[in-house]
Amino acid sequence: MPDGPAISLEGLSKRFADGPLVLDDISLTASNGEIISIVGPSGCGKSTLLRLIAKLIPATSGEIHHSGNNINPAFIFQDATLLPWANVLENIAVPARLKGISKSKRLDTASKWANVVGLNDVLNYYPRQLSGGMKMRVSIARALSQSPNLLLLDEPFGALDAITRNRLNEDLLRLHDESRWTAFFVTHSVTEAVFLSNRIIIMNNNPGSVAAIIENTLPFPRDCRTRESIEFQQRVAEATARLHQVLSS
Amino acid sequence: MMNRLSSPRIILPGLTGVLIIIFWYAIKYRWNIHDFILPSPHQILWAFTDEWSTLLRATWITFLGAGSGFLASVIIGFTMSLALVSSKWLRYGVYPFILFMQMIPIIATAAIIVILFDVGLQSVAIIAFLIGFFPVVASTLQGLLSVPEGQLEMFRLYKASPIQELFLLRVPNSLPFFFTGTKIAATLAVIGSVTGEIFAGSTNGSGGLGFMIMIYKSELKIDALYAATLVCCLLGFIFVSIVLYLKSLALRDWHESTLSGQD
Ligand SMILES: Nc1ncnc2c1ncn2[C@@H]1O[C@H](COP(=O)(O)OP(=O)(O)O)[C@@H](O)[C@H]1O
Ligand SMILES: [Mg+2]
Repeated sequence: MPDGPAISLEGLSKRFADGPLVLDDISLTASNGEIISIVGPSGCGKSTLLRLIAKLIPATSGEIHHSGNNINPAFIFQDATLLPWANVLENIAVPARLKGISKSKRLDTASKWANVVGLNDVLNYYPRQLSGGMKMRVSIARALSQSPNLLLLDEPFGALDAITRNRLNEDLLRLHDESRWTAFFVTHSVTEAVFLSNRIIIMNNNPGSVAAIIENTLPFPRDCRTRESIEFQQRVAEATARLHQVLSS
Repeated sequence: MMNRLSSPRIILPGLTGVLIIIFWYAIKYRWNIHDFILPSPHQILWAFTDEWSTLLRATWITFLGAGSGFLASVIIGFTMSLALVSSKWLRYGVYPFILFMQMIPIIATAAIIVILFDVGLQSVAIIAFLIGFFPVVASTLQGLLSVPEGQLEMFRLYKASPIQELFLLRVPNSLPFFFTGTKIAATLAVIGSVTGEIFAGSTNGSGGLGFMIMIYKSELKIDALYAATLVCCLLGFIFVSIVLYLKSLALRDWHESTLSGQD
């Protein structure tokens, strides 16, 4: 499978109707199959930025370019946005259903993805029977079942406990190894950002803008032992210091 | 586990029933109330056996009026909600009137409909329909409109058509609301048709429960009047039970309200 597209944002600005400027002149690039983390105070326009990149909403000015033919984006939200009346399998198959793919075919694909994210035992469970971590796995499977080449994650693990969150981070990197999508990952956790990404974008408030970009040279592959390494701890400490410095100035 | 859960839910209402009957007798004999005003429970029971065939026929007629009106209110109400959610202009234009019409007292509705459509089953059914229609529309519309923003956005991301958004997202989301409205409509359908029968009177010489209540009152068969009233309650209860049963079938797997036994 080819790597996800390279994406470049050039002077992206966004204003909703005649409200204040939400995003001001954002320029940054993601190379093929890169994972970029975005951190910043709440309300600085991170979700809006992801929506712009997914072309869910139009930019007020500026442009988004990408390599390759088409971008096929998938979104993963903090709230897993599962349909409460559909079981795990049907939830994973929602995008396929919306595309009009036949029932047997879409449930087939869905069960394959349920398997990949470790949900084989709960295929017939309904969302209210699932833990937060399992819901998020359904959401991940639903997104990946569409073979996206661009993944937009909006604080996906923010509501989960640390252990579940770490596990999902590791799974995400494993899945990325297989499919190499390009990803933008919004998070409040510097640890998570350091673990997952090649670069960390720090955003500023009022209007939202890029305050700093941290290159993260922590080598791949990364797995659960990476977190125990001194190097990892150092990167986290450095990134945290940088974040505080940028946001207090 | 089911047994432990359900047994107090049968015993306790039974106990309340027994207490009510004891009170009834106590009040009647303490103040020596005349049978024309407050008959004893056992007299009402005898009235049941005396008037058995009349009451059964009256119940059937009321059932026809309430049932057809109720069905119409559910079907037309649901369709109306789909139309209202699909067109903002229609919603803005019509919805305030739907809220407004809900405020008309049942008795006024009944009087007006009988003037418009003459006495008979058709008027009773129309009253039952009108009275159930507005709660069905009001609740269903609320359910159709209250889809969480995240789910809507997810559907848009995966390029759902407006029809898909309506039938795969809004309609299932509205089901619990729809059943709430339907439950109200079921109760009101019986109350509405009995009220209607009091105005609309008999059809071909045989009237529904409301009509019989009028007759018993004029004949001073007070125990039978109480019996007929009791049957009205029973009929309403059956209507609501059917709705709750259908609700539990439809929402069995996913909705909290079917688990905790709130109803
Ligand atoms: N659809 C919208 N209409 C108007 N304003 C919006 C809309 N979406 C977001 N905003 C505004 O944009 C700003 C940034 O929001 P958001 O992107 O959600 O921030 P973040 O995700 O960083 O917390 C907020 O001030 C918010 O009020
Ligand atoms: Mg946000």
